[in-house]
Amino acid sequence: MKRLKVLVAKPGLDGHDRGAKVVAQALRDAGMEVIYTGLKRTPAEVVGEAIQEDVDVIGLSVLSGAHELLCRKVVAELAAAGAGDIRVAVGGTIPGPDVEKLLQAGAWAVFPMGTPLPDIISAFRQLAEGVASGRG
Amino acid sequence: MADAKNPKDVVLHAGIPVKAVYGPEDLERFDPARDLGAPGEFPFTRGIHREMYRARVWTMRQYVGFGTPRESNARFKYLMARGQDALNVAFDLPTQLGLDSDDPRAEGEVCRVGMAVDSLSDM
Repeated sequence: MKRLKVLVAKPGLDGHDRGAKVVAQALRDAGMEVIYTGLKRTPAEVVGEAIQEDVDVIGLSVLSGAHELLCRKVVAELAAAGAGDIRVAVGGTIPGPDVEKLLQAGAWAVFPMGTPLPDIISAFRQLAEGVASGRG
Repeated sequence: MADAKNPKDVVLHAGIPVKAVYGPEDLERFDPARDLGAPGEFPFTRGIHREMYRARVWTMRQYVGFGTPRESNARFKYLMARGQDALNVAFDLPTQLGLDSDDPRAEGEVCRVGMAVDSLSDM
């Protein structure tokens, strides 16, 4: 199985990163290589860091309600940079009706509040298997 | 002093030794005038006001603020009419950070988590 490389990112102005750090640590403990951007990054900065670090997945953490626009911007910036193969996961205070909107906006996976950590790890592992077998 | 032989004694991360139990013998060098003080006076170990809540009860306030000043104002009046006696205003993140609503970094955040106030004319 490919060892996934993940960029956990805090785009926008939201300063709550306890959840992002918990998820980052869980993914790291599950054997992935994880990088954390720190707070208040712009979508362009997040995409720039993702390309520079050559990650497989960007995990966006947003708890300010700006998740939809920020997700769209990151997906668009990735496409513009020719890095559309980098998956985008979104987590945070995502209201139920917004999950589908984010998936339609190009998110690979959405993890709203209350998602158990094992569910997140399992989604990333399935992706890793797909990437390794060429289905990714 | 903490007794290194007593397993219940600990040393805090700040390096301060703490005993499991203290008694009068620990107060030998304790000067109440200097180390305790009166209520409302330095070093404020007994509260920041002399009478504390006997003189005035704490204020009751909810952290509240909607997207626009008009909606927030209506909510403030609703809460105060029902016994809340102070306001704790929730602003959106651009306002909290001193950014204008049309700043590129504010995109998607305006009127989220609280109200947007860019200038006095919004009040």
